[in-house]
Amino acid sequence: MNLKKKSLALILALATVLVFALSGCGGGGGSSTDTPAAPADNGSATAEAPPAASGELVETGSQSDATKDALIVRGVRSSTGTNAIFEQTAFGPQYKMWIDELNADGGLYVKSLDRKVPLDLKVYDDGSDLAKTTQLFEQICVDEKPDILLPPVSTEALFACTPIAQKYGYYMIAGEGGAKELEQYLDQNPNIFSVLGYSETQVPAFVKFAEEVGITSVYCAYIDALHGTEYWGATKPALEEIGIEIKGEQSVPLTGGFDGDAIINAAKQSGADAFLVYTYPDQGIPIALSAIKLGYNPDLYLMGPGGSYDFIGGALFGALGNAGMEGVFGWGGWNEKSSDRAKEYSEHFRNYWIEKGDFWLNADGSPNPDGTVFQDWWGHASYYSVCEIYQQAIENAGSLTDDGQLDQELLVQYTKENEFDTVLNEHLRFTNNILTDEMYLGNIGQWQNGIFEVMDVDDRRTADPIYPKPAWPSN
Amino acid sequence: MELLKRSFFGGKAAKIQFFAIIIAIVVLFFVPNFGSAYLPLFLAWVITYAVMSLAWTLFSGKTGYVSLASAAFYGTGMYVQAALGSNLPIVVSMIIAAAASFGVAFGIGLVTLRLRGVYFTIFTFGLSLFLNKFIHWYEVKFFHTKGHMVLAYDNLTVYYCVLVVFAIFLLVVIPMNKSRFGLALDCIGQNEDSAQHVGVNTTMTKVLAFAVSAAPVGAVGAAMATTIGYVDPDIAFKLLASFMPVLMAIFGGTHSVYGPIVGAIVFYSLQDYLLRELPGAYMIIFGCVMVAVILLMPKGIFGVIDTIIARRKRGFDGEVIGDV
Amino acid sequence: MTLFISILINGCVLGSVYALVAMGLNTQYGVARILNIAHGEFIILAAFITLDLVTKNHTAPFVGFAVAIPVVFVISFALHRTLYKRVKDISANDGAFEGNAILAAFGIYFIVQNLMQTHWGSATAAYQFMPYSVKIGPADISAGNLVVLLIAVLICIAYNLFLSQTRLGKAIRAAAQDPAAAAMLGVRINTIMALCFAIGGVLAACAGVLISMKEPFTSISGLGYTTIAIIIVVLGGLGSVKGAILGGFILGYVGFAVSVYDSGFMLSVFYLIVLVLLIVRPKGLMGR
Repeated sequence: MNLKKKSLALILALATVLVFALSGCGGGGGSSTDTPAAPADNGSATAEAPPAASGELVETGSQSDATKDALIVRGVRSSTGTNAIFEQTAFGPQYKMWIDELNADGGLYVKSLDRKVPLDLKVYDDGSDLAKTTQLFEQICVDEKPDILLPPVSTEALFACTPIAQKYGYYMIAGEGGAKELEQYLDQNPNIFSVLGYSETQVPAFVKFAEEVGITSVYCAYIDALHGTEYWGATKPALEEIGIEIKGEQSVPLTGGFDGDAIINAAKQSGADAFLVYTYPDQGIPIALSAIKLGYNPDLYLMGPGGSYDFIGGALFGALGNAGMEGVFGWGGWNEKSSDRAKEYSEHFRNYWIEKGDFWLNADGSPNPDGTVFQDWWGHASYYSVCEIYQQAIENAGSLTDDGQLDQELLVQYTKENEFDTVLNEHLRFTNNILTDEMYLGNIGQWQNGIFEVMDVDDRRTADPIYPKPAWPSN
Repeated sequence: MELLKRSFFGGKAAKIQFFAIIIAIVVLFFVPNFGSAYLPLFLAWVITYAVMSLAWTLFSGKTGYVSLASAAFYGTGMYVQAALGSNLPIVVSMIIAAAASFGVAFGIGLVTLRLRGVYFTIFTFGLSLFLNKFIHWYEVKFFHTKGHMVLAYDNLTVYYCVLVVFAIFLLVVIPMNKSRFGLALDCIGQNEDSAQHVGVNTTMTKVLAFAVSAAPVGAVGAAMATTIGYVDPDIAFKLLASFMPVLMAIFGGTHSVYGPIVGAIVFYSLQDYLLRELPGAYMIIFGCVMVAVILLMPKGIFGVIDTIIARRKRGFDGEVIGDV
Repeated sequence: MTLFISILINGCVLGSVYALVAMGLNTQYGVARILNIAHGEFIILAAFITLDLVTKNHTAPFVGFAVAIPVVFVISFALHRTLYKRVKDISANDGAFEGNAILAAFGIYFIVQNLMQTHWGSATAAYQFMPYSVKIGPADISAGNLVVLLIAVLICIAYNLFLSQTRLGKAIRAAAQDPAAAAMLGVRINTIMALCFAIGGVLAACAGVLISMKEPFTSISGLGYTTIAIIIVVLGGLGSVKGAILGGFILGYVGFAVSVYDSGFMLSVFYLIVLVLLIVRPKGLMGR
């Protein structure tokens, strides 16, 4: 017993040193090898007060301009764990492509410097643990002083990280995730903008469509996460209002097991016209596979997030691909017919990732088993717009503060007051930090001949709806 | 009083220990004045895990009942904060969270009296999962919502809150280990039946120790919920909150108060470093470290140090050092 | 009526797979005393191996048994011979060993899951296996599920015969009942333990192949199966293979029936069952 106590003082001292060493290592701007000597006053300052929070706008011409040799891009993204799928397939491939191409071209043009500055990208993993997300997010905000702050992964993470970004005066465009509550939330956090379509515009679009084709009853399986509760919470009263009967509903667990056959049995038993699956792909794919196996073929089958994935047909039908998805609905909606910009972006994205060897198809259209990236006909237009907005804001209003950091407040001002030319809309403009319905290329879509056609009941529609849904193909 | 004297001033070693603790806490109190504004947040998380790890050692390390209920207490604290945080000052909600966790643990203790060994472990494991899933289902089914926003506090306040919990806990645990109560727990760990024969009220001792160890975990959970800003069952009752304290304690060594603290510091820093520098591969390396720790240091860092020191003293004729 | 038949048969299918999963864990715990948190990871590993065979090499999923079983057997055997044996050597007593083994298994869980996520990605993996249904009375039952049920039941029967009829099986049962006595009677206890751990892995591999036929999976869904296996093992009684089968079927029926009502409630019910059972009858239904 005595022996331990003698070593105690030593150990405590060592431990304290270790804490300092390790946290100091985060404080010093990381050990990223490709950071070409971060601005001198950035590394040593470790200031107590965040620079941008003070809101001092500094005009161009400070001495930091000459030394700015990299724009620091930082983010906390889920490389492992339950949310890794989004980093791999949603916003992840967009910002990686964007930054890679900018750097190949000499960097991103910054207005006040009147030259291109290379981007230094470094992304931390949070292991899909929200406690870790917020901790590392704050670390980035305080210690790394990024010029561009990338958004975190899920709706939940967005809720948690938005006030942190606001606290330190950062400018941020949200990627994955969106919710009705976000609207009022952004009032308190005016530096954060959101571009992804969500229940506010999508549910009314679906309800309109349901009225158009004359659905009389629905059954819903919704994920027990924010997404499912919000969408079903919005859909249920809207449907009841126009006299559509709710034949049944059930929640599906986000984590842990469930049996797709049981859900399909219940839906079948209810005899509803329309079957709504408001779940993520991890649940939506098993449920769809059960529907196929049990020959459950409702007049309308709506598959939530994931229903718009280009790879969904491949996952469910193998070689048959999206032809098997004929008639299935999904949220969001854009395709190469939506606009010229959309077509250009879609081809560009596909070719880029095919070249990298990480696309789920090869150049000749055959499946590439090693490819993890695929197109998403809901989110991708929005996610790429995030990159475009960052870029155009910096190109038009990028200016350095005394600390050599991009002035975040100026970017916020610019974004509030100006239009952006993006994939989503060539005249994209924020209203109260979110987008209104007319900014989107579509809110609801349907698979027809392997194309995800926009089905909104207005001029965004790209094809006539197929209703009722044809039978699942027999392999 | 006699006990306090014996614990902190009885003999040279105890004095060194007492002053070391006081110095450490004073240092920790002033640390946020140096370094970046992020440092308090990081240290608050380290202290949180130190408290959880210490709490685990207090009960499981002594009695040998391996508990995986840390997540249940931590989550209870978080939910108390989510429910009361916007109306009450953080100190009050932390006290309520501690009381709630104490109550939960006391209840579990009473119903699990018959369980021994791995059955107790599975029960506590199942309890954390059950609370997660059930609250999840209940919120979604009946309120059509999931999770709650939590009112944020600045990092410094949170840091001092958890530091105070840590200090109080430390100053309670050390005398407790020396007391009759601590000895009774040790007896239970060595042989529960004989402990009963020599007149230890094993039931009451176990339940009380379990509940006492749960209270600070609830308190730090409540404090840390404010730094996350959003709490849902998957965040509050996360599985890692059950496993990490155990790993940290084993890594540091469960035979002293300092083992779990050092384990928490090293493990949390390591995890943090890996997530930042090796995203996507952190689990592999972390897994390897876990395995290596168990293989190479079954008695923890302190066990290793003891062995080295003992070997030096005894020369090389030394026997293997037994448990202290 | 339709729903009743559906629950009757599908509950049976779910139960048979659960039973396999639990039998594996039970064999590992019953003899080797390792509560293998990484059990589910080997299920998923086998499922991915089968998926690769089906999608890349265009074989029938049954070939998965031929490939996954040896792979998992070798890995598990090696793991016990190296890692767990050493953990046993350095642990002071049986209780310490059980604690350390759980933590070592947790490390293995981290490593295997991350390796799979790196190799196979995070997206849901699925292939179609007999994507049509057959009518049993008024109910539609997935044809693939019936095949899964048949194979699972055959494996359960074969394993029980192996335990009761063969020399090795008898040695395993002896070792499970009293390792010390078995060792004195000439059972090579270390080999038996490693073998049991590996057999547990083989059962996991079998379950993995069947699960890949039955439903889609992801690189992180392993822990879900492990927790279900733990629940069943406790339900049936630690170390009791028959208990595992009984527990598997009970949970299968309860799970499917609850899922028809609300899938999100299924796991809550499972955990509740195990908590109540532990309080009322800690040794499990068939425990000694």
